[in-house]
Amino acid sequence: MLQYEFSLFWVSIIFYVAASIFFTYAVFFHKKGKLDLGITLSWVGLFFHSLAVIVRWLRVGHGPYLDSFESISSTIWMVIFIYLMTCYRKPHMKFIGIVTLPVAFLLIGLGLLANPQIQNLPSTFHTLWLIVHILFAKLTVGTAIIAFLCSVFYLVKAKKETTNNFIQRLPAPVRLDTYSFQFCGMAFVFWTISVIAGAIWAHKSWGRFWAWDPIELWSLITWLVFGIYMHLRRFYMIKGRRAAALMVMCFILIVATLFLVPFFTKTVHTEYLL
Amino acid sequence: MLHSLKRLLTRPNVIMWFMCLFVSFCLLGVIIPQTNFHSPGYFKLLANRNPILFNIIDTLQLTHIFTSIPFIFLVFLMYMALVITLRSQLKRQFRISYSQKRNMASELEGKENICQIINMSAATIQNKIQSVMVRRHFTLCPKSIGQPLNTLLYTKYQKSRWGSFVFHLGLFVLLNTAIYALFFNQRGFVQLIEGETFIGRDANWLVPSNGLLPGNLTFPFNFRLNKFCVHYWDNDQEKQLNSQVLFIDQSEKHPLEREISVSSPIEYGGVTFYQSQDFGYALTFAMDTGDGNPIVTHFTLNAVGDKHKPLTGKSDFPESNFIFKLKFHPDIYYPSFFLKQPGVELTILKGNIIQYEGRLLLGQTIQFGNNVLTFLDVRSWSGIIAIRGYALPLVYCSFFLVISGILLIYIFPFQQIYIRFFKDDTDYHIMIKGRIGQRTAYNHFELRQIEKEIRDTVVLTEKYSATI
Repeated sequence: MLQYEFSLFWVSIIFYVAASIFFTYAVFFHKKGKLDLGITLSWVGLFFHSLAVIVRWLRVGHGPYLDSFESISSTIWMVIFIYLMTCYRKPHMKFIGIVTLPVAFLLIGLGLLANPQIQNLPSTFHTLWLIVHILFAKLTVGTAIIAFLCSVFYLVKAKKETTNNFIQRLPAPVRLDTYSFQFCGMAFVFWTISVIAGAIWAHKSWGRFWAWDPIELWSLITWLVFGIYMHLRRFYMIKGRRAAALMVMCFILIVATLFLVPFFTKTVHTEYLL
Repeated sequence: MLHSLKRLLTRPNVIMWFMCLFVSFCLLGVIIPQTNFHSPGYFKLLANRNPILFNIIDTLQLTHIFTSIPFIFLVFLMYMALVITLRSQLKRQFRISYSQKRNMASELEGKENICQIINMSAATIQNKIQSVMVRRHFTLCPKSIGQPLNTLLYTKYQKSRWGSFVFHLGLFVLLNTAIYALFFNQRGFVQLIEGETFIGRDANWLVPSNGLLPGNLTFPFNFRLNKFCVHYWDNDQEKQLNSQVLFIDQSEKHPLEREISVSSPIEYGGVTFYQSQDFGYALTFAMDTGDGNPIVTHFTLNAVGDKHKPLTGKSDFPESNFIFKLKFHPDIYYPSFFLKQPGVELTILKGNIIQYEGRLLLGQTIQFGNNVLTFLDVRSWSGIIAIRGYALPLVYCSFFLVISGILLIYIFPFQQIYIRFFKDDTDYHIMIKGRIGQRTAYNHFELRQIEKEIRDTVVLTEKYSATI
């Protein structure tokens, strides 16, 4: 079963690579048809990625959330899935694939090369709240990445007097700003659910909701900064460059909370995030 | 003055400042070592290294920042701001009236779409608009007194304007739960050896942790740990910890036996019992110092992650000057008939002088000086956490409210479309504006879509101009 799993992962990577090539070609040479082909290849890649995740799930007996490889793989799956669903509803967002797909296949490839070992479910993981907590955390990362990319592209597009063809072909700044706000709102909401579910899970396992440990603190800081962003957008009507810069900061905080803080601290979350 | 305070607490910039201050407190909590993560000895070392800095930090209560007075005061202010905000949101929702509808046109920001239609009567236009909006699941609001006849107000998901209120109500309940837990929660941790009975008195808890208000965790029943076992996966990773506990209650005829596992707490007598992930072995020694009265004591050792690694510990032997350094193997492998016996590598010190060093198997006796030491017994001990509090139902309630608010805000957002048609010399013009929630202008592209549908429905020959 191990060889099936790795084969499926590598097949999905191949499709993601092919999709990336078509996205790059379509964006730089303004070929809309190739963009659609890239989307189709992404869907096929996601299908094989899903099969690989399912095979691993059956092999190890638990979902994709224990070691670093599983964590990265499932996060990337969620990112690609949200990206593709976004493209389905908002076709002018397809250009984001030029960044999303390359990052996806690079991370999965790195994870595979690191020889992922099987870990068994520890005693605290025998609860449904685990699924709620982890699912919404991954949804947060997925939506935050889309919001981040929209903000980055906004900042790039908002530069005046550019003759770069790629930048000129990006959607209008107003649209980018709107989508960034909407996806950031979704990320805030998912993060709220994830934090509350995590607190309930902690109570079931250890008899306490909140211990102010580093991961919990940083997740609270991230949530508050997201909250500040939402309130600034709503009450102060900030938009444009300032909003985009603040969104970039929110994304950096999420990355720091999930991927940097576990490196420097030893908490109950450390083993399972990285 | 109260009114001014209310207005101050709900001003958006004040709320921003509160949130920024909260973030600052959290960052301080990350940077400065906290008492709940470090031992008292650690802080003594810090104090010795830099007494002035430590005194400042200690005076400002930064070593326990999340139970410090400034932090609790900030939480209290945020709590008041949330209460006042919820109250005003509630009042506004109940007060949604014609005045809001009438002012909608001036309140709205964003794009307005105008299309021009010729050769149609007002009644026909109105009917066609109605058909388009009904197809989009909008409901026409009845005209209010004073509303111009050439205006139409459509709404969708009326109930969803409560979304923000419900979401913030969920956060309010969560904050209440946190405050309740801070003041009233009672918690205790005990290391219970197999066969030992715990009497529910506060003094017996190894680590009591009660809320800020006075109150001790005591209960009128006892519980005994009958058996503790650890289950492992094939690769020796910990799978599950189980404690079989017997509740001995004078008011009940028969004792009740229950099993506690990690993530499967049990409730008895208003107290919830959790299986801690701390466990280990209790080694029982008896030492006869020559006076014929042996001293019996237990040494509790904590298990490490790997079940094959020995458990180590160091402690004084009570009523003596001896220090015991232990390295315990739950099952020692010898190339002899002592296979799979518990054994301990023991070093006995008096001051810095080694009195004894060697291996001792279960049941064996050794002599050092005038003393005779017997390794009497090995039993498992299990960490049991007991909590009395009613926070969990409140947290579930807040979770439900937050999810409901989110669904109302994002999945079923309250929408209003305001349509006004007016005639110039020859032609009718239709102006469309919309909003989502109270402040967000309707998406310009969606408005253009609606305007296009109306135009396609009503117009046979037309001129179109869109003004942005």
